[in-house]
Amino acid sequence: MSSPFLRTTAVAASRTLMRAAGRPGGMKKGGTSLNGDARNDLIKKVLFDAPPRPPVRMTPEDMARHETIERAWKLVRQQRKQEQTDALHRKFEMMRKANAELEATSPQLFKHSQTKERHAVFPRQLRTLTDTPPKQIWNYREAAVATPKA
Amino acid sequence: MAALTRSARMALTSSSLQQIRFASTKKVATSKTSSEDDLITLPRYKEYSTGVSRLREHYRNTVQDDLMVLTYNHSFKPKAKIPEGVRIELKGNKHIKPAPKAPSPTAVPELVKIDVHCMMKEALTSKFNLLSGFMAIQSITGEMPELINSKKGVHPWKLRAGNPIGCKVTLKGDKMYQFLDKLVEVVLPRMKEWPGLPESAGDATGNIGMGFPPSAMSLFPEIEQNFDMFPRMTGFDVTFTTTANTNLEARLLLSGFNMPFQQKSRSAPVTKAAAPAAAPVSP
Repeated sequence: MSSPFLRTTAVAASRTLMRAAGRPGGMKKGGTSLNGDARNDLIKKVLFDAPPRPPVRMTPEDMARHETIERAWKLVRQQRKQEQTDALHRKFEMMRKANAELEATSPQLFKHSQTKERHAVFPRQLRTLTDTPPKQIWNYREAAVATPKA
Repeated sequence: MAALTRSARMALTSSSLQQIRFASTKKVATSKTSSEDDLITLPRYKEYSTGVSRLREHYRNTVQDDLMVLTYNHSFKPKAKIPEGVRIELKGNKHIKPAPKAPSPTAVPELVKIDVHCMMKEALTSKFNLLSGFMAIQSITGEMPELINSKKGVHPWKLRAGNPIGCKVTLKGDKMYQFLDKLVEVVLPRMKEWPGLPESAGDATGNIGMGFPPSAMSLFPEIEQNFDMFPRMTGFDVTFTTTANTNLEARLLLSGFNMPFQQKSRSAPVTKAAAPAAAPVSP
């Protein structure tokens, strides 16, 4: 069975080829290479002459397994997305109701609540989720302390 | 059989059951002697995603809810539709902006695509100068770029219409989030003396663009590894296309992905009584 790693090995091979042959500035003003630089030759080879990725072929049983897994994974994603969409709709509806109530009770407070900052951005401290968070958290206060001039 | 409903049980006569059994045994018999011809080729056009994108998860878990609240406008009134056949007189050279969408949980600003584009002037002297930029864009985005031909000829630059002049990649989905992640986590923090995107960034229809100098290209980990292999570095522009209506929404969305924006420190409004007292202190 052909493997999807075949292409990566091919590309890796061409990369080592590139590294071996393409010295920076090597073969400049040479007659045969593209634009007088051997590296152009290699880049062209890697970009356009790489062998096409062989198609992945499976036995019918493997195909059935593959399709079952794909379908199950699709279902999981669909359910998760549905949950999130429902939650978002619920939150929106509550927000709308709260705003309507505030408008009815106190127009003054409602007016204040509707003002928006023109240059609002998320705080810089916002961090994306990661599997490997640092053990020591960045100390933001440290930067505020003025260092004495030498 | 216990799980089947009565109607289904009625439909399944004994003969059809036999057929099913027969068909299944037959299939097993053939699969045992599977040769090379029996192999099924996996369709190539499909993209299989096997994991979750980190920034997409971040958007769905954190940013989306906050954006919905921050961009909510309770007193939204839809614009009157322009009837067909009515010609609108433009003020000056301004285009008509698309009508803003009503706030709804389905209309929360979202990143649609990222365009990475680079133009190489050196391609005018020799087309082979394009190769370097082509390779660089491909290695930082992971997609094959498309060639850009000039639309117009510009005589002073010796540019003729139809000359190949640059390349472009349009990123969507997982690859888009991967590129954004790389940009925000690796490249932008290492750009020296870059103050961040301006406070007024945006094209008024929810898209934000930024340009990078050639030196920024070498900060990508893929380029950094074999920097010597590229004959020349090229600058490039990145355009973020979002479903936001205004600049504010687009900036909010991008800052949710940790894109740095310049924040001018605004002093609190000075009251009239305090202003003259402060004046003699400064020379």
